[in-house]
Amino acid sequence: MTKLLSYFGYLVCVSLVLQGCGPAPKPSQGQPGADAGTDQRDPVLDVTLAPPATPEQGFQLAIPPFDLMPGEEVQQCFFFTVNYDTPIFINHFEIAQTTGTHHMNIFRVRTVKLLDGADGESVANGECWKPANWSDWPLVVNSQNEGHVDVQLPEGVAHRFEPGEKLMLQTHYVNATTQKTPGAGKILVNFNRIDATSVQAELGTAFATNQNIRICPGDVERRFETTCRFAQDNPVTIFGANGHFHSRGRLFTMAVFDQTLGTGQQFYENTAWDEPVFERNIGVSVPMGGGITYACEYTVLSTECGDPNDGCCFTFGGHVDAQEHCNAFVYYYPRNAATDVNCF
Amino acid sequence: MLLKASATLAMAAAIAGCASSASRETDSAAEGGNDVDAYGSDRRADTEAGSADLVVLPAQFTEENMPLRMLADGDPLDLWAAPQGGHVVLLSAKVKHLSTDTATLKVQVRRPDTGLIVAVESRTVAMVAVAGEPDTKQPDLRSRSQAAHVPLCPDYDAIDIVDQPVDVLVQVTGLYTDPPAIGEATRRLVPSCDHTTPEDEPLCRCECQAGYFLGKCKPDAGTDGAMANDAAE
Repeated sequence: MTKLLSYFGYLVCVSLVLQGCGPAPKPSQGQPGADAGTDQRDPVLDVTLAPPATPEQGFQLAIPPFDLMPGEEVQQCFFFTVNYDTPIFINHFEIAQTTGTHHMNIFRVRTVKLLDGADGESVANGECWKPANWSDWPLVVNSQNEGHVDVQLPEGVAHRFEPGEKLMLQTHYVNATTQKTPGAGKILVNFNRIDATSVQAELGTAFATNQNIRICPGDVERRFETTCRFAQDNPVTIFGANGHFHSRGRLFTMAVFDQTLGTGQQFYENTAWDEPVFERNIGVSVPMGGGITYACEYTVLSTECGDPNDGCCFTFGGHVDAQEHCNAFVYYYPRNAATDVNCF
Repeated sequence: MLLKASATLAMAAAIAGCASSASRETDSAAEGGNDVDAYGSDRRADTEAGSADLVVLPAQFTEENMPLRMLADGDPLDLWAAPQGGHVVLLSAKVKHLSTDTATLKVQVRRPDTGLIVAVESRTVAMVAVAGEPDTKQPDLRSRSQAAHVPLCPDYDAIDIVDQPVDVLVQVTGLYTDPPAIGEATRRLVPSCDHTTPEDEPLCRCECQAGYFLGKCKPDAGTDGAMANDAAE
């Protein structure tokens, strides 16, 4: 236990003490253990995930359990520092979340506007709801699924992290009308390393958000489609992808986008807003200069109401019951030399 | 499939004034059954001969409940700061001979010299009659969401977006009509940061300059294309 404290500064027991204290408990970077644990089914009231056994094998980001009151929706941003002295490479993520999670996104912190925190600090709601605060923060990994999600990158493909690099883990839990949190919120993420000599290509990410959507009661299959190009330097291979919208969403698709030919082969389709498909190991080729076309279709019941001051329509925003999203998360390799990509 | 594509291309070539000449200079209806655009690509071959022809007059959305700004070749195209980040252009159109109240508004932006596509955006919009203009409709101007928001910046490419001409194809497809109704027109326009707010202009120019990378436009970047002051953040 002392070893754990000295290395990462936080303890699992801290999380236990904080259990039930509501949002924004102190996060932890734990370690030891073997591999992924097990979770209950239907619903997932608790999750376990043993951290990598040693720092050489990796590290864990752990958000201790927190409660949500009925009708509550909480978005929290937890800040972590990559506590290594040399660059490290991660090619395997393990993610565990309890039922009620709406999304979990991890970003690399870049331009700091009104959202920030030191290693181990967090911001609950407030600035953590305002996406302009992370508009130029590259995506690391995301999951919208309860239980365990395993993101094993192809052999030789890895995310690179710099010594002392700051990360932000954003978690959104909902215990409201369209989504419930029957137990506590809890998130565990393992970053499993590979040796630098094994790396043949860095992973690149694209985080695309269509911000200008508006759908209203009675709308049927209203469609919004746009593009995000991320293959700047070379042709790339898409490893994985997932789409995100709220309960009015009926169909989320992604297709390859070619700068000459336009929209091509569809490689992603999802109709489940609350447990969206996270495609992995799909090996989709994208030509240089290309990217994706992504589209969201919505249907709004005549009885639903988003913004009562706007004809009960639903516009872009994170609040599940009253707003809508159309976000795409794409993982590809090799990464562009200069940058990951965010599209708006 | 190849035969079908060849036939489509042949029909496109055979039709005088087809999309390749449905061009920057004219406001034209897309030909029925022709699914080849000005660059011979990115078109769906799902319309048949006999489709109703629409006349599309490209325009820029300005403000909610304000008139559209009609666009001619060489006009500036205002870049607008989207709420979460980036800069988009807001495209719309007036459409003649559209019988339905619902349409797909699709906008495609290309580089004039290479024809490479920079971005494509399409959305379902509600069409309403234009007062004082018979047989003419436009997207409902009460909401910004009824304009295509074409994401041009950040510009990760090697060529600037700001102040560089682009070809903008505006295509309108009437929904729930039989026969299908489709029309399109292209304008050569120049994306501009000139009409952003003074606070936003440095960010607009930074994000819309070639070679963007995440984190480039922070106030203290100090590199070529970096922001001029803190206000823009």
